[in-house]
Amino acid sequence: MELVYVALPVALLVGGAALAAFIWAARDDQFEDLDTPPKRAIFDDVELKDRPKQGGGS
Amino acid sequence: MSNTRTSPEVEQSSEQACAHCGLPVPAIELRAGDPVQFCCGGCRAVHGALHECGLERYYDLRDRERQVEASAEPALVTGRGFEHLDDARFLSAQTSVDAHGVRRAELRIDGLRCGACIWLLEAMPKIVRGVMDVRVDSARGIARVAWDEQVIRLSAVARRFDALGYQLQPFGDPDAVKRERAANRAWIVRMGVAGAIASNAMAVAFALYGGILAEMDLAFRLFFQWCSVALAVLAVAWPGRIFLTNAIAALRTRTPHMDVPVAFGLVAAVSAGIVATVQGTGSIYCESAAMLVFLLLVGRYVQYGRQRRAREQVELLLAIVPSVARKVVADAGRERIVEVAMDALEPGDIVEVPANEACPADGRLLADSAHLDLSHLTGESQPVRVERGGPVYAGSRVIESPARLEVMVAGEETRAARLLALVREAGERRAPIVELADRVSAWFLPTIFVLSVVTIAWWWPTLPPDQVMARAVAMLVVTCPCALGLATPLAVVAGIGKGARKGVLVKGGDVLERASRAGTLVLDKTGTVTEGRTRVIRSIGRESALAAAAALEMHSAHPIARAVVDAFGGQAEHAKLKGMDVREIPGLGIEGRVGKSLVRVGGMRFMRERSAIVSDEIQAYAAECKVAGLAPLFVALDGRVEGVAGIGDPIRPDARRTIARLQRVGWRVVLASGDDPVVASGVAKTLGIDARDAHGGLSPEEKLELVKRAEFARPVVMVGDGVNDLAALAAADVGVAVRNGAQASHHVADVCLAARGLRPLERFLSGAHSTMRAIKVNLAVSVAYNAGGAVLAFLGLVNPLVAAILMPLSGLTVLAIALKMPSFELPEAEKEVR
Repeated sequence: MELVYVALPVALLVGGAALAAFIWAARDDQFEDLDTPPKRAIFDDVELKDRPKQGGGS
Repeated sequence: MSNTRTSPEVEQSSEQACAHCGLPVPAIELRAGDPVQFCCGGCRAVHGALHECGLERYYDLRDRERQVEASAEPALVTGRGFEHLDDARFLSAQTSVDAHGVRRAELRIDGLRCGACIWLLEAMPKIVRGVMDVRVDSARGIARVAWDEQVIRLSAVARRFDALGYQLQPFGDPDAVKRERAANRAWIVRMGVAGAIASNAMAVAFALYGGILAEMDLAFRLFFQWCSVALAVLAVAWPGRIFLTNAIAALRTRTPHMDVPVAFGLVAAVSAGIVATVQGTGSIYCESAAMLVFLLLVGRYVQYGRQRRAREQVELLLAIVPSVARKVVADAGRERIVEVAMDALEPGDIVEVPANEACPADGRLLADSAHLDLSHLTGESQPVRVERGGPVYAGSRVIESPARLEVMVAGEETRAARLLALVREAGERRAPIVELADRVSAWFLPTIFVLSVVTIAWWWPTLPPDQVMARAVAMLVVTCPCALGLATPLAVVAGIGKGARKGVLVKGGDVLERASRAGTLVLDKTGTVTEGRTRVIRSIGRESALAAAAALEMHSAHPIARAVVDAFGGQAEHAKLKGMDVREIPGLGIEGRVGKSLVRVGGMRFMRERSAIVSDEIQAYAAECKVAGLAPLFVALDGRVEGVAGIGDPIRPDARRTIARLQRVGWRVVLASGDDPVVASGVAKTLGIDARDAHGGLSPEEKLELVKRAEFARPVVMVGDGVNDLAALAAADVGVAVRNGAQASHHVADVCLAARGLRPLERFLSGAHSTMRAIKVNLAVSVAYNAGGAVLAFLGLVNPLVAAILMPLSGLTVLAIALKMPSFELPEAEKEVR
């Protein structure tokens, strides 16, 4: 039963690590745009036809 | 370019669908023998540009996306130069450059419609040399562009985007965007931290209560208690601090606020926990406090997210006057056009306004004459003709052909800018309505306080002091308004979310509350009860004469001409008629040869000048048209009038029944129109609106006065979409704007409807009503929970375990009600198939 004195703080530490990862993700703006990435994933398979690139001055 | 709108009538005029946007192709744009047809020049240009770049896959992707969200809109290609994006000041202030000469900028992008647009834009680096990366944030209409300065300028990138129908422009206030993003980040972190702490606190609490039941050693019990206290202190001090600061601010300003009882309960629970743990006696309520912080933050965050989105959509649509002007400068005897920022214009400058674009400043017309669409400024639905030297106001659109004007006043002094100032003022003066939740919380705090004191006073003589205090703390914790705090935001958020899916964009919960009771509904005429476009409403005369008129009018881009073509150009047997020697006489009409006859189309003055013979029957019909608020248009064949068409803005088919339904539930419906008073009262009569409530010919200032009239029952809901309605929209209790209306109206209004007409409006009003009902049920449920909890605490029946169960349970009940109840469905009668 004395194991609790170690196990509980360790559990809290592991939880704290996950929380730190979450805070990093939030600060990295990963929760900023939740609409575009799922749509982008659909288009990954779409290939463009091979064409020479065009210059800028249109 | 893009003034073609979806409408069943246009569809009748041709079977063809636009190859780009899918809208029906109007007869005037049809090109015989062409396998692909377009509704406007913009769509044609974009279609061409897509094929040129090998981007045809766009259409497949778009069709896939269309099944999810259908929003057909013709493409807009402005053909502007975008030189202002190369401005050194802009580049240094809003962009960054790395060691390899790659510059990055964050820009607003207009024209996004569906997922295929994301693909198209993000494929740009593969097509345009020098563009390194494009990332689109479709929810906010933001594009992050990286480009190689050595190879391409940002203006050239913007021109490539423009050719595909997307316009890049810098943010008006880039710092506001950053602030908003930082605030969102802070909310997410706060909520995540609170959630993590709450779940850990609950886990510890299970061990603690389980241990107490199993008669665990005091040492273990204290250890768990200390862990629990530590977590609760962390929860209140870090993510929960916002409640404490809000409460202190509310106490300082003496305004009732939900956060006062919340902060009170949190502090009570945590302090009681600390005291009990230090003394080694009594019970603690720490996990309840941690849970409370988390649940309340969830409610607040969803509310914040909705408001943020509404604010951003408005920011996207802000400007009514273009930010860029095309200034004509004399350069060594030759004329040159340079694009300058609007603020740089000065009186005396000469600017050119391209066809279908808005004027950048108030000025004097330099061309012989021009037709102006003033509908955004004055609400007048018919275009107005201005002669040389006549006044032209910023924000009015030049139709048909480009025009030059001499700037008289620019910037803050223009009529449009002064109107906007009026709007700001009206918005600030709006009488505040205290929200229901705030009214409830105003008596909530004193009630709990009194209950705690009563508990102490009642039990003091009979029980030992520590038990009395335990009951008092239990009273404070169990009545802490978790469910109450969630009740309003959750119902509001659910309501706003359901509304948004139905095309009703509400900017805040207070709006739903204000619109939930029936009061006075002020409608503007153009676009709300009518379709907002010129149309042939009725006609008599020989079919061949009317078809000949259509053949002539094919040669004109005037809105009346379009109406005639739409109405009479489609008949198959006459479709081959061709107008010859067509001459348009500005302000009068049009004449030319169709087949063997000389055809003239125009108003009465034109007929008299050309001494056409008008029969009594025709005269009578024309008079009838006038009474009905329509302008008669005569068609003369070889000097004899053979047909009359009544031109006007048709009333929406559903308007009369919808208005009757609204009146039945208690709304007083008032018509406020910038159009002719005769027309306004004619429309009111058709719609069953009381004659004293029909107001025509109103100036913006008069509209404002009308909305503020004391005789009207509150709330006053104002519906309008012109710049002329802005001040009234801001002054009304609830201002409702319509998307596609004047863009500034979105900024001022509390509600934006995705579609014109009365049905979206009715949807909003019934949605507001049902959301308010959900709020009331929720408040009743949470008050009942608290009352029950208070009785149990008074009797000493609440222990920490009961509190830990009761708290989330009440929150969940309220959540379930909030998600289920608000409904933006139309009343049953509307759904009947007729």
